[in-house]
Amino acid sequence: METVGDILLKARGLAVGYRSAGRRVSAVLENIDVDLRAGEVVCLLGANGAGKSTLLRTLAREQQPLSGHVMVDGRDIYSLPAVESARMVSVVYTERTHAGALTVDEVVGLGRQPYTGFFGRLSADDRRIVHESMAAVGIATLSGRFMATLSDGERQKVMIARAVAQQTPVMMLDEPTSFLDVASRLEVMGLLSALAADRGKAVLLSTHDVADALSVASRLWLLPGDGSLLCGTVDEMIASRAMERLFEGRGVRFDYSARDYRLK
Amino acid sequence: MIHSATYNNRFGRKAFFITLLVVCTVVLSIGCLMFGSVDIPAGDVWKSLIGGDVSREAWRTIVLHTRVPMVITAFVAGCALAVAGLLLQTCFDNPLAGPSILGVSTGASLGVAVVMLACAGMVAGVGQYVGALVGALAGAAVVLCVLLLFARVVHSSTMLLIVGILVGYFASSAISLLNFFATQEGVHSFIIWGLGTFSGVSLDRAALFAAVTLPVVALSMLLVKPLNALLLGARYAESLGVDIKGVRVRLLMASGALTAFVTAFCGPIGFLGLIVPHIARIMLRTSNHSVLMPVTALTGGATALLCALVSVLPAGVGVIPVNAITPVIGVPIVVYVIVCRKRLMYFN
Repeated sequence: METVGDILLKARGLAVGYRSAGRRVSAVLENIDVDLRAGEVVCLLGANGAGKSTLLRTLAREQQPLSGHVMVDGRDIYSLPAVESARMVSVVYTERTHAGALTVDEVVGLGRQPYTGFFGRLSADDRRIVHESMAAVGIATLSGRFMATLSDGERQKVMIARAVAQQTPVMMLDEPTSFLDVASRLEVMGLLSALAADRGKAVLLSTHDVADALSVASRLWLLPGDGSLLCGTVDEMIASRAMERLFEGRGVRFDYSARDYRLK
Repeated sequence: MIHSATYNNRFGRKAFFITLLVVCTVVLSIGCLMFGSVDIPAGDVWKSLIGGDVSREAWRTIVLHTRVPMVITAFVAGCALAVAGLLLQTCFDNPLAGPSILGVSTGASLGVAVVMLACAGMVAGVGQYVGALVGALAGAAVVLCVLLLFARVVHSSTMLLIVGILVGYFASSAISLLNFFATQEGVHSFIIWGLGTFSGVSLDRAALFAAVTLPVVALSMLLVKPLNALLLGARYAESLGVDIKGVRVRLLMASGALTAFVTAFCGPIGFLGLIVPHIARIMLRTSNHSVLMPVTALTGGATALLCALVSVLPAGVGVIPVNAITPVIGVPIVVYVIVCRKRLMYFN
């Protein structure tokens, strides 16, 4: 399922990591050259601490790279005003969100902020987009509910609907299915594939669920934990035995028939 | 099962509570004009206001130069402190944040203390008021800068709250030291100011107070959009296009200025900034600032008028310090918020 769309986001010579006070630079990943293309779902896989979240934060204009550039629409994302970047890239984080006394439609409506005026009033058009986004994620019936009354899984879907309402060409999700039950997890993965296939978005998500990743991903980004990033289609990655490098030295092996990891 | 309480019928609520608050504000204002240490018949109060013939000329003076300024001062101070509290609570994502808790009020007090005690005798009259205002602004600004600085290092909002409390203690001790070394007359006027009162402001100063404070309240209303984004947390707000650093600076400047103005004119007033946003949220059942902000301002004004009315009720004895009344209203609400935090929904 190789899709060849336009490049929506590209990173060149990227080094990501942390700069601590005493000028000490600790790079988590170095020399990263990657692209996100329209219509593809890219899954980011790696062990805990391999740098998945750090990479996502850097690509999403949240943490300056140590070197290199992240380009959207031909411009460096870090030189764009926050509003312009918010029209290009939307994100969904793992952490629990508060905002308990906002209703679901209000939170999804916040996704329209990059487009609304000074007071954030929603136009009729904005409200239509909010409803479509809720329907697409399957939470239309929750519309008037308070966030505080929702389960973790429902909240996660609300945050995804909010990102959909943001109508950005690029969507990045950090472990979007971690709170979800099996049914919701598969629904969300299906939704993300559909967003890529039907609306030509580029979807980048990090996940610990290898089976899910292998079934929906157009391409994989693997972080073996040595500061490099391996990139390719699922079949390429399996053929090149790159999957084995992901948890090298740990008590698991990649089972090629089940396409998932098993205990040794 | 989903019961109706989980749904939102906010628009009916909004109209109901705004009407209620306006009625309360009017009734309390009338109360504050009618009652006081001197008994004045209602007819004469009315005649003093519209400029008719009053039985005793002293009554007119009392109504126009004591009671009217008190109503204006209390209402404006209540609005200002409540809005400052709301800005700080959203900015630090903490239900227990407020100008007096975070040490902003104390910082402003220290600024005033420096002007009133250290510079006693050097400035007089209107100059003293301007001095107090500048001192309060500088003090609040210093505390907010310290908080901002710590906010870069300390990411837990609870720890930041504790930093605020410590900064407040530090400022208090500086005030005590200034008191210790100051002249007698300076200490006397500072102690009276430090009790906190809505009734120590003359008519023209009340007008000045309203003229500097209400524009900042209005400016705060312009921050509604980023404040709503901040409800999702700073990371999400930024991903929605909010310039976090800029917005934080604007939030802190607005809340600092509001606190400083109130402190300069009325002395340090505790609790209002902390509790009023909670009263407003409990009434409206929302944390959406486009509704919450104006209702918080109105509730603040009404609550301050209530405190002002209670403070003048014991006729003949004088005026009870406002800071003796605000905790009586405030502490039960704070306890309620802490105990029912889960059920109140808006900070979980």
